[in-house]
Amino acid sequence: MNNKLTADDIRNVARQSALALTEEDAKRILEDLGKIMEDAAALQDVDVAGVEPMVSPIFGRNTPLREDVVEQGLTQEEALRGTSHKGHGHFRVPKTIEG
Amino acid sequence: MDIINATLPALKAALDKREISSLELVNHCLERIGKHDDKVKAFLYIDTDNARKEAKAYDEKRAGGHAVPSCAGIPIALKDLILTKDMPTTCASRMLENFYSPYDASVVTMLKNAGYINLGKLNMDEFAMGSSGESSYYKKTANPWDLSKVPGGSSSGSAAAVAAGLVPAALGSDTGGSIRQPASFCGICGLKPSYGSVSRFGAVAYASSLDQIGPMAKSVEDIAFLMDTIAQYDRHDSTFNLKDIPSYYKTLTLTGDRLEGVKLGVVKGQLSDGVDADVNARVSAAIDKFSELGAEIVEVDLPHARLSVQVYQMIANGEASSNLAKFDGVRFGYRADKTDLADMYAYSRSEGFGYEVKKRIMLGTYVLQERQYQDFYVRAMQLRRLIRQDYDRAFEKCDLIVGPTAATTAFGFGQAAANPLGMRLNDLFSMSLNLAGACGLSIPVGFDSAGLPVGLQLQGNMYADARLLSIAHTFQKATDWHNKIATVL
Repeated sequence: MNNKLTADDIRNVARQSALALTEEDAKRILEDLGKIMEDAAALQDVDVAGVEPMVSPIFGRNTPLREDVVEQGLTQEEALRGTSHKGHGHFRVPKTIEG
Repeated sequence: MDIINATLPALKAALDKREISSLELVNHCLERIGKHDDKVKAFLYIDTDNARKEAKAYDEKRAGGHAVPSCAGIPIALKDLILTKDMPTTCASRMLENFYSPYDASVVTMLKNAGYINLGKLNMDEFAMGSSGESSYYKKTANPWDLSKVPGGSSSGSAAAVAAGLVPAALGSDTGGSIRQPASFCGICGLKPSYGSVSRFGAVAYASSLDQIGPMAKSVEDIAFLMDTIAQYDRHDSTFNLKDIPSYYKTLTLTGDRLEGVKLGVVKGQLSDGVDADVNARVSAAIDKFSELGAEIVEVDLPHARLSVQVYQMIANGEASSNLAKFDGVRFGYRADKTDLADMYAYSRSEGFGYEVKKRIMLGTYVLQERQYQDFYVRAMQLRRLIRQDYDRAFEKCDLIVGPTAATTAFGFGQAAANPLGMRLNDLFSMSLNLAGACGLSIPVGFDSAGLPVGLQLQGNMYADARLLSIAHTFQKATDWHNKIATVL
């Protein structure tokens, strides 16, 4: 186990999180996350051998499934309501293919 | 009619008998909002015209002898992470400035079907991440008991609006204490229902295995009344897991005026170091009152709950990093003006999210990395099961667990850092309940020496919400702390 965070970790995690952090934020996050992970070291103090991880409070209970019936979802217009970057019924994004 | 002190059932009865009109009721709230909300800053959005229009329509129907829904004309307001088709939903974030959802959350549909009139959307910590209300991008809600103090969070606007009498009741959400702690700070009642007993469809997700929508109001009677509307089966939420949905309001009378046969558990060592002396005193007095009413007090132990904060940090933020990945500037929300796609994603998220949100996404992404996954994330889920098992054992010995909702009363703006132990205990008292999926209620039980409200937390087993409310109602029938009104305004 190694939970000592470095500036490289922060850069790497920011990339994975799709975040462009300012230098100031990166520094502050390094410090804050460092403290949280240091604190989280206490998780290692308890013997958890053989304990089934609990994903959700209702995991293992019967969750009711609804009938699989076709229903009307969002219309194209409704789905596009949240953005002004649209055209020809599509979401517009910056060009992704060269050439 | 004394509207501010009226319960929801009393408002319904007065409307049904036409002793008061819905328009009078709505106007009363709008006038109070107009008069006080520039100081309290609870609302992010108010729809005055539509509220009056709906109220008039119900009044006319009643006058004409036509059938109206059961709660027709009662005003309510919603935490701004509950999706509404006709109002913006911002999650108090720049990311969702001016965002209109294409659909209503299921609880919104349920409220509409029951005839409630939604006055508007309430401030909160950004994306429900915080416990003082201070991380909102838009404004800082103040505590109606002392405007220099925070209202608690993350359901800051919901708690403050009810406490200030701006609206009779509100909905909040609770992932790690976000209904109970602000209810405690603002001297009102707030229920975190059992996981899977109120639909989460249309509540913008923070941590899906912990989040729960719940009611916030002045009395337990109101809480139960509102639960009857929002705790319904929802085909859109597969985690809704109640087969026999109780009538929460009807079962309020289960325990009558006395509590003989009821066992209340006090967690070993909970009233100890780090808890404000005034909080200790008020909570102890409330427990004595329960005892006087016939309840038996027993000691219980939640040995793994001491690690709740660490377990919560791993699980809640792991889930958050995934849930918040959808905010990429493409389909909705803030978009940075960039010509490269990867830059557009990264800058939209960095400029759209505040610091606290970015920090939690980073933490969640980090603990889900292969290197940390087993030692931190999986281990936290294993500890989560041990915490759940602690609760199972405790509830074999008692009906409810009682203790302080928070270790402190409301603190000043920017003051959280000055009391790290108190803040940690505040989290510790509330988070284990979400991890276990159990239900919890905060009710006011008095004031500290500065006149700030103190909350008592009652924790019940999963799906024991009706019994929890009934026992709390018996307490409120014998006490009047819940009838105190914030006087600073």
